[in-house]
Amino acid sequence: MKSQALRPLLTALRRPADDRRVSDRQLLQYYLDQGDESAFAVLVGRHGPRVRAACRQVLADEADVDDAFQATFVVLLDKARSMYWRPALGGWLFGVAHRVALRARTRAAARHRHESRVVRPASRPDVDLSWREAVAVLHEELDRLPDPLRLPLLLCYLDGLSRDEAAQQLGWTPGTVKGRLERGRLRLRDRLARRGITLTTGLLAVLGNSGAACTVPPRLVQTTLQAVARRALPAPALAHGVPPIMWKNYTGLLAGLLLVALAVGGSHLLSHAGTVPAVSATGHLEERPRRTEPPPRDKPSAPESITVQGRVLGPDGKPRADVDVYLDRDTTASVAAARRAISGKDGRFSFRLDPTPFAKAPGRADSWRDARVVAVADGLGPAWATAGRATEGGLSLRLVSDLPLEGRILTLEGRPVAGARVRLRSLTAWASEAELSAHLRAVAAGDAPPRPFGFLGEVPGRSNEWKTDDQGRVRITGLGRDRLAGLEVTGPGIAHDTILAVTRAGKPVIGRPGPYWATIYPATFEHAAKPGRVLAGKAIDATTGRPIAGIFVQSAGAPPKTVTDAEGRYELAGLPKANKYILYVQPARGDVPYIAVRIDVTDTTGVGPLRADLRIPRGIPLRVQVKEPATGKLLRSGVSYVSYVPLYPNKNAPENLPGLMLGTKLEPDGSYRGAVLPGPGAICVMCSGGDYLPAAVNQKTFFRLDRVPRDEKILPASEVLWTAGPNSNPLPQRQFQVIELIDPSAGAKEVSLTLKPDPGKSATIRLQDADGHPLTGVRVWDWRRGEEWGPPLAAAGLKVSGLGPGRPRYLVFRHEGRKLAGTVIVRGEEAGTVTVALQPWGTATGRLVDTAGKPLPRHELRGRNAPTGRDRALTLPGAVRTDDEGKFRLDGLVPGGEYYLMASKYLPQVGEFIGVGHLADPVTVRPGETKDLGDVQVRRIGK
Amino acid sequence: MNKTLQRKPARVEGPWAPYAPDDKAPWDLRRVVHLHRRGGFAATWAELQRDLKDGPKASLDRVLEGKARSEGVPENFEATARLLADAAAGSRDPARLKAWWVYRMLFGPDALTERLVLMWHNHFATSNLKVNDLSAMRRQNEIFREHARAPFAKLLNATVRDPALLLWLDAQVNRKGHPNENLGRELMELFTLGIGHYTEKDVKEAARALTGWTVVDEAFTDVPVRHDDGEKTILGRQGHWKGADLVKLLLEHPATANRLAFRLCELFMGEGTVDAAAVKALADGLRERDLDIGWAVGTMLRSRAFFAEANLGRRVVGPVEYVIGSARALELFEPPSSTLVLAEWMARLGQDLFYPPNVGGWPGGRTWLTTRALIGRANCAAALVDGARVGRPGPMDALALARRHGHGKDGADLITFCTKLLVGVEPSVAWRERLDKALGKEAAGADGARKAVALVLAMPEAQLA
Repeated sequence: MKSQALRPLLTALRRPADDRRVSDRQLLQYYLDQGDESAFAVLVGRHGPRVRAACRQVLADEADVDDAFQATFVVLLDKARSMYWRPALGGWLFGVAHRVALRARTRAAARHRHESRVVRPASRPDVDLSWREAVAVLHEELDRLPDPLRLPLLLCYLDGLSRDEAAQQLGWTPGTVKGRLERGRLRLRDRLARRGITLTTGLLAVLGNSGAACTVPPRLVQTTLQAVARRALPAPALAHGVPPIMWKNYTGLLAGLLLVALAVGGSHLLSHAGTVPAVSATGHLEERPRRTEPPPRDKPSAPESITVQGRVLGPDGKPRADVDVYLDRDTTASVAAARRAISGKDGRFSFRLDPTPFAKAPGRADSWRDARVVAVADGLGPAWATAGRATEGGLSLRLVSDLPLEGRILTLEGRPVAGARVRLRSLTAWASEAELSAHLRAVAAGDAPPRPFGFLGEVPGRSNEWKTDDQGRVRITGLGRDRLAGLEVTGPGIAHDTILAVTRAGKPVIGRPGPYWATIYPATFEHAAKPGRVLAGKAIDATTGRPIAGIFVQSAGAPPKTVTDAEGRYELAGLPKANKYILYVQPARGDVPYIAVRIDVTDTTGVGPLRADLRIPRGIPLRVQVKEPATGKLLRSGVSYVSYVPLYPNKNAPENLPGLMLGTKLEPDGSYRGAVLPGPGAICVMCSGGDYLPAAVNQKTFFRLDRVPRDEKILPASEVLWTAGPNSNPLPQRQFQVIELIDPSAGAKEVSLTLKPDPGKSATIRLQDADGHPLTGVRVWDWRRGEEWGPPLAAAGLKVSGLGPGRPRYLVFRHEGRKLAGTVIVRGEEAGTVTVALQPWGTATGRLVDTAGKPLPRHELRGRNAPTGRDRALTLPGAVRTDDEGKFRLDGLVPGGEYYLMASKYLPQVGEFIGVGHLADPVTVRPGETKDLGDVQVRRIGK
Repeated sequence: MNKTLQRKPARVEGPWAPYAPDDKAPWDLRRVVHLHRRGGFAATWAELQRDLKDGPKASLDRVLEGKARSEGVPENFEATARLLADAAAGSRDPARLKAWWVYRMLFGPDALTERLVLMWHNHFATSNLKVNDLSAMRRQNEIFREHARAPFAKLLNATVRDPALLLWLDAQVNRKGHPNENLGRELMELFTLGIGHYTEKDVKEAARALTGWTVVDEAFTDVPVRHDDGEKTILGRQGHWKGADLVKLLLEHPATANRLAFRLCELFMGEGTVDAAAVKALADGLRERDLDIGWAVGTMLRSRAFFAEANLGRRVVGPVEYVIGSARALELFEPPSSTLVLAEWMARLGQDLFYPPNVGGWPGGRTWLTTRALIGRANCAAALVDGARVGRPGPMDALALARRHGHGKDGADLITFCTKLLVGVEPSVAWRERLDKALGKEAAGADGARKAVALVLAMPEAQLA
């Protein structure tokens, strides 16, 4: 029921391109009044990039950034009711984001991290760690400033607003902004000086550059909306008295709680950590993106093999036969592109897919969904879709007509470059020509461009490489029109370069300085290439001067790279001429015991070959074996990495170490080899298996230190490792499963270690049916491992390890053949075997309706957090979809438990399911009962 | 290029009376070389011979019309230049912008205009070190090119509203109640009047007049609310002066013409060759003609004073002229040297394009000739000849060059050729002796030819033109 007054608002909301007409305040008010998530989604879309940028300033780990991002919007929601209104939200949100991110960071170091079992992607490698310390302190001190002084600094320096823009955002006069900027800067300078850091314009400028606006992945929008919608998170089984985690108010505890709570309840929030934007790319151009809903995921999928099927259409929309269909590798899986099918007369194709090679970690068995299915036909542009987003009818791949690129590569003297190699590195498509135009306009204006439809790395089955003729010309076909190609150009005498070109006629788009600074060429283009230099020489031992073979030499951040040969020689070609060349060198093999360093080579006049010999310090050979504690066998697939960290107060660390940690190489025999320095250090092992406790050592007592480099009250030696080097950056311990402190002497021949992670306590679970007979063939759902059910167990039970204080494990069981279900929570303190008797499961059916009684078709039902004190609350594993009439069926319900559920609906403009409300009453069943709940009403959130 | 060139200069007697060849100042190779080295960046042998044959009027016409280069100018020069400029402006790479300008100077048809652009770059010296915006620096450079020979009002008005200059001189912080004097001061001291023709009070009032002028979104904007619209007294004149009025006042002030005359003499005339009366006559002429730079350029180049013996070989060749001139005279067109590296050499020799040391520009003249710079020039000459250090695949074939132009049959002939081409004179006995000694017995071969070229270029006499 929508009143007249709201109609203009709704109309505006339905046309996302015009959503600027609706003010932030209206959107927020609408969300509060109506509970319509789409309004909040627009807010997230509007301010998301800057909020994310603010979080990224402070937090290095992308998952932490996402958590803080969500927490910021939750703060907004909670404040929305009570706060006095600010004219524009952006500035305030930015300040909140910054503060939330900071709190999250300090808390992340100090708290239990439940999500240590999830493989965390490494911190962004581009952040120079020795710089990060200064930036970290800067952020801390910024945070300590009172808001009137802090906000203008954040907006002007971090967010890059002009004084007038900041004044507008904050609702102050420009004069006030100016005065407070000055005072804030002075105070900041004094505070930093007390901590030994000089506030230079360079320091502030780096902040401005490094944190500029980011895109917000659609998944993040969804999870944010869910976090906001739920206001409280699903808890694991409460059958044994673990209270659900809810937050009542947020204050400073928000971020920490959110982190914990997300980890505890939200496995689905953490899966699919943003690789390929998972959109159902139909590959053809339309006015509006037709994002169809993904299929229901309530069927537990066996990880044996999956059928991928669909239809290939021509640009005219008619089925196309004899078109090659490939499965392109996912960005992270190592599966090579291979042709899987040829479309038949009706355009249809079908092939089987083995998901095993795609599985990156426990809980990611479904990462095959991110792979792309690509149709490639001669004379046309390819079409592609993400495998996991097939609709009921399968994937629809519509080829597009082609528009070749005609390029010319010239030198800076206007001469053609013959024989230059042009290689396709990326192909980006938009849903419509209008969206591509919007992208080009955004780049020209220096704005954040809207997200594209999808992208491909290379076109499978093609060489993706072209060469210029003796006039420097090159003709590139087979990309499809109205797409953006990223091309890598290399050639004799020219520098490595990447150019962007659209398969569309027009003029070059020259962007503005900023995060999206790019030049985009039209289909016919000329490119002036800088001269390239050859850097060559030898890698030599810093002490003896002897050449070293097997050293990996790479120029910073870009190709080319190479390995020194048997005489220690290397050669890098195509380096763009610069004042200096930054090289990173490290051993290419485990048996080369040298320390990775960064070497800067000063430029000389001219563009001829530049000779530079690289002096590399030798280390003590290191050999590490990581073994399973129980069996003593090598722990192979469960290890993410093994690294060496020189620790305070080690004076042997060279000045030009590239980072805090040095890696090792995995040898075929399963051991890790590398090199260490004499003096204090640590070997850190990160295991992905997740069944181990986090490591805990004490550097102070081990090395008998009189003092540690920092304030122990904030970050004690039992929680962090103090690294070597001038800043003694702290490294949180909890992310590792094993830390071994070492102190080899200078003359040591080798450091050889066998390390075993600690499995903590374990619990043995015995599974039986209601009559007490042992039960085999049971499938287990472990909330930490993602949404998939495990395969049927051969034994009538299982052992669970990695349990420790504060690390309980919640499991759900089902036996499909006999329709039995059960659940348990184990903590490792159980005496003896834990017996779980599965009972006949219950089924609940019903029809989902809104408060007016209207059915809600194609909605999703999921578990949500229960109110306090409900001991019998259970979580529904995964989700269940209502059909076209709003009817649903919940199977496998454990009798006696209370299922608190929430409903989400599919929002096309976001491409995801967004929470719309709760079921008022929990669903309970008796053993074996099939219960018809009738019409089940969904109550709006916020009411 | 502009109409003032077609108009015959009004009959100017006195110091700038037109040149006509006579016994004291014949139209010889020396003067042809001189014309091209002052009114361009040196000429190739063929161009020199052509001009020698065609006489001064035709040669001067060509130079002034931007048609003096008969070779080495690629067909699609402007299109390529624009591509290079766009690529530079869209990159973060100052080296690209410098390479672009070198491309224009080396391969463009109108060397005289490029000399003037260089002069204006020095006059309105703006450094990218502070501006930090290649697109803005490019635009400023194009403004200099467009109005290089226009009446000065056009150039001054365009330049003083140019974002690069405004950023350089802190215009955006100059506002009502908080004046910043940088722009006002340099406008008076350097760009128009020169020292001694204004007071500190004038500077303050000028700053007030300029309030409101700022850069928004990389474009010039006049913000009324920031403008101090009170009454001001500048150079004895009272009024509610705004920026445009200030510029007008300065253009009308007689000192401006003097300063422009000084600049032009600095560009075209040798050290100590112009007396006060000549400068005054030039300034008077400018004043009578709306400060028409084109008129002044034409008058000076066509004048007797320009071609007088006293003016020959009396001006120090700056680094840019040295590098470009050498590359041109030696016909290093195919394969070309790397424009990027040539710009690098210029910087090493003390003139870094787009990075003048301060707002006063490069002092020029003898200050170019430090010991270090002289050694640098010798190295540069060697690099130009041997090719590898300027991005060419191999050394130049100096012997073939000489032979192509009818010289090079022996060592002495080679020396004659190099000296005439690069210095414009017939080598004296003393000169030959010096060179013979340095060359040794290899004078006649290909290597000897290269060495001869490099030696000549390194000689002190070759640093003057």
